[in-house]
Amino acid sequence: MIARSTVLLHILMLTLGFEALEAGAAAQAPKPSLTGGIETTSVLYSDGKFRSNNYLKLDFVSGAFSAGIQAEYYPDPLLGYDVNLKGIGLPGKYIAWNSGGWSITAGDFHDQFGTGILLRSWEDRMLGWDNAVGGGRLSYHTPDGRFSVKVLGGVPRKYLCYSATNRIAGTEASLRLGGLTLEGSATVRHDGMQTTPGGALGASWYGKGFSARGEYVISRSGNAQTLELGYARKAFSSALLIRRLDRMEDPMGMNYLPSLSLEQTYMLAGLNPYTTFAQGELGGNLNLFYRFKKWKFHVNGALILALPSALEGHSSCRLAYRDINVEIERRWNRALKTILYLSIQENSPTHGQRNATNAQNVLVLDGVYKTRGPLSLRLQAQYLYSQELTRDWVAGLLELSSTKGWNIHLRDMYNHGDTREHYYEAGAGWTRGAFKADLSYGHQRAGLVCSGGVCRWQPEYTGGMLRMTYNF
Amino acid sequence: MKRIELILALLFALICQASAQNTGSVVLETLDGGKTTPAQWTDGKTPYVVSFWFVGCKFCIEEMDAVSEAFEDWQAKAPFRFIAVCTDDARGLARAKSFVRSRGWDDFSFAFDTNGEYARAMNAMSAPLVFLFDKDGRIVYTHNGYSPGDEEILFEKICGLYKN
Repeated sequence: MIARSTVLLHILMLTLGFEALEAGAAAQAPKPSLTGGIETTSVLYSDGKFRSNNYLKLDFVSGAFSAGIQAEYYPDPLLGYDVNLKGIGLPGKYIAWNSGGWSITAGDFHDQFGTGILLRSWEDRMLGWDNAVGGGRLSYHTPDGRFSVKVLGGVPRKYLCYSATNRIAGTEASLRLGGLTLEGSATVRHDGMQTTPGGALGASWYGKGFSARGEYVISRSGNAQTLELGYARKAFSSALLIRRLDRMEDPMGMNYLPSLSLEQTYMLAGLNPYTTFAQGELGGNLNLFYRFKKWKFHVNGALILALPSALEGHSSCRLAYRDINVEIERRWNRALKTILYLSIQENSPTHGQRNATNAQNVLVLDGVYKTRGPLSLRLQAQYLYSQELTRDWVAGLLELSSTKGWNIHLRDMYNHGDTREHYYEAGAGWTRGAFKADLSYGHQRAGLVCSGGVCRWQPEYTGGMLRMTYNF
Repeated sequence: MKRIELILALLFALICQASAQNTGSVVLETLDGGKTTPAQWTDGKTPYVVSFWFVGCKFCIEEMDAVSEAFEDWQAKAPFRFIAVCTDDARGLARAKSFVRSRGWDDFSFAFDTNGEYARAMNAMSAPLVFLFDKDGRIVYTHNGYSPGDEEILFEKICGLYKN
């Protein structure tokens, strides 16, 4: 046993020693390398069904050359994910050459033009979303990044393969002059029946403490405008985002139209999120941040109106959603930090078509306490007051974590206004370096799961979940 | 049995050598609307930390607050740079920039990965996720998740780079 371990140790030391010797040279010409990531999420449901989502990503780099794959395996996709994902596939594969600002890719890639309204190809595993484009891309940027241009074209991903009918091609250029950046892009889409052009023009300007960015998009039968304004001075900063969408639905799913409202992070505040009304909405979102000694304040508000052109029988804008969120954070000492959070929301489930809205008020108390040792404790108490839908909710979270790499948590959401049902979860996690494992068991509520302003429906279930990720 | 150990050791050796990431085509936005590339971060003088975060990630913000508070003291002992890579998308960009400005993280550098290209290249599928690069741009330490106190372990690793 000792001999074996010694052999092992020798090999390792040789490798590391070898590395150290070449450390100087490595900076100029990195050695070929293989990196990757593994992610697996499996749930054993209370009805005995086993479902699992698995991803393996590998990238090989040697100088200017790179190549990689992403393999996915769904013996049965997790509940809430598209059942058509079932099976094993290689939805990601590419070879690329990057040198002196030039980059050429053949295979599957993700990209985005401007703010993504015209075109965004991206992956979000929490949503089960990946609209990678399989084809080719050529791009160039000057060493200082002041000028860049790219052209791309291909077939969007569908499930584990490619779309049979959809094709997309586009080009984008951007130029920076001092604090001013100008961007322009154009796309052509073909859905098997018809070909539609689209275009976007954008400009952004960054001055001392002040910033502005605007974009105008024409796509298929509709158009969109956005304006972002930012202002910062010492401990105060603010950001205002205004966006108008008019007939911007995209059956191809390449338009990125996230919800304008704040993405809620507390359980009860995120129970009934707003979803974008791409047919026609006009909305604004204002953020104010302020820091004063040990206090930090954040006020956020959104007002979103449905355009009459997108509704039936209305001649003026109608309320689709509004909210105001206030967060007050205080660090009391090295050990204790508390957050008080208040969210007042009003959501029209019909996007303003009918008068009925759902209003809810959520209050959260959140505290983190760090002991002198490796442990820290997080406690959350949440309350949702509402006279609509399932009325009042109460929720709590207790989490204990250690710098040794482990954590455990217990949470419960209880609807005491109507259904009297508990949604509980108990879990433990372990992390070491780039390895992370989480094991939990619970009863999960049906509802929208959102990430980056995009949501998917999650059915109710009871079960145990194991999730592991590893990067190398 | 020996053969398996040998294969494992060789595999480990291969992984150890894996330092260059496929970030060649990645261009990120800076706080003032400019562009930056990961290759520019390696300066041959000081190590640097790349931390993936987003505004809705409470643990990320706790970690960055903790590093920010200790930053000045630590610089005197073992200089390093802290590059916070924000994975908020275009929708969250204005808010993220605004958030950063008010937070008092004046010692950090910021890069905005609005379409997740850099995160993909680094296999950063969750946040908080921290990479420590040595002065030559090689990853020497990775940490997934955050528990208060983890920042001190990160700093020990940085100090370790100065001992060799």
